[in-house]
Amino acid sequence: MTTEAEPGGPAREGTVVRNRAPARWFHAAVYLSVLVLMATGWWLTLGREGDPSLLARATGFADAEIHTVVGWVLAGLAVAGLAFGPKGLRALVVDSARLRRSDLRWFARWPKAVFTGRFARHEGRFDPGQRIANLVMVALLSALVVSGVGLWAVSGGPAFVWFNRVHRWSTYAFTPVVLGHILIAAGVLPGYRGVWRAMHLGGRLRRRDAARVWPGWLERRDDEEGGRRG
Amino acid sequence: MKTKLMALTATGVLAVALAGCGGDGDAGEEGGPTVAIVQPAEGGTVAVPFTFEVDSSEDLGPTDTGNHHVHLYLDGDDSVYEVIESGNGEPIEITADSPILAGVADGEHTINVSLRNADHSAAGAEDEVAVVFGAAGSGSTGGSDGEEGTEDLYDY
Ligand code: HEM
Repeated sequence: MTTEAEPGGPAREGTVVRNRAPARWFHAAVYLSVLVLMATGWWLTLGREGDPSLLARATGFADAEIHTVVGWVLAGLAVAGLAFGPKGLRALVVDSARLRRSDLRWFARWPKAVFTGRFARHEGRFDPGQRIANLVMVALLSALVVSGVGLWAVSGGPAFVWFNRVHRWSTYAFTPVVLGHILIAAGVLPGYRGVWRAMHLGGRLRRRDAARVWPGWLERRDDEEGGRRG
Repeated sequence: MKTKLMALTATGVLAVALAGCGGDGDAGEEGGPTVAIVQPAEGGTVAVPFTFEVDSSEDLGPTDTGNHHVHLYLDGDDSVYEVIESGNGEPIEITADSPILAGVADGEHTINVSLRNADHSAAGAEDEVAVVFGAAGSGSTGGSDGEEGTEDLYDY
């Protein structure tokens, strides 16, 4: 075990910082708004419009109103992300768009490894499954934001029908992917134990969890740190 | 609507996002869309289930048709409403399981309607009538226990 001296954070034995504060706050803001949008959106689709959900009761606003307002929050986050964190967003997409032949082995071992933690090695910043999920989530979130703004902009009529179709089908595709992401990232599956810390509190997870899930990334990071220390 | 379309430009998205939620329709335009309550009549008495009729200048339909719909609510509280997306100009029945009737006590109430765009924003046409709930024998139509009285209209 090494002792990590992180810039801006106290040294803590056996841990490694994976995500810094701006990325963690951005992620939290996105997922809080996405959770509200999924809940209120599904409420509308399931025909419960007008019958206030718990959230609507708590806030005194109708679910449709909450949905549209929080939709704008998410649209604002998307624009803010593009304006203030273009490098980070670009890195997310570029690092996710890499797939090597050797990753196939990772996929073959994955169903068992989820429970045993014995993942095949991969070199990415994200594991191969995560890379696909990242791309799918970014694409579907973009479709949801664009079609959502479109729904609001036209308010009704033939264009609305198309925006509505895109919005609904994106929701159908997005929901299982997000639920899968939450299940994995929450760390309840033995193979992914501890990974939730990568995005919460200090963004610092145990080195042994990082070595299990992102081995190539951890080694590169250690090399960089070593290089910096001289 | 034209100004809304302009807001679709990339910078507009942020500007509108910061300004908060828009989408409040074409309120108050002359010759704009209309909505009116035909039944129950102003000052009438209402027992549940009750017959309701609304008349709008717009075609009504579910959200995925892109048509307008009507929000029906009580006493100006538009956070709890019945969605009316068919039966324009025809009597329909509002039954005890409607969200607007949960916990409503007998007595004077206002029935409100608001014409909505498909995206649920206000289309700028509203109407209201004052009625008395329960005076004609609360919820007795077809009820098996047939209790009379001026308690809450329903037990949930
Ligand atoms: C995680 C993101 C989102 C999800 C999962 C989502 C989901 C949904 C769903 C399922 C509906 C109901 C569609 C229907 O049954 O007709 C809906 C409606 C709506 N959404 Fe979203 N949405 C999201 C983001 C947004 C955004 C960013 C906006 C932009 C402001 C937006 C604006 C709207 C509007 C105006 C409606 C009402 C029109 C309608 O009912 O089709 N949504 N959303």
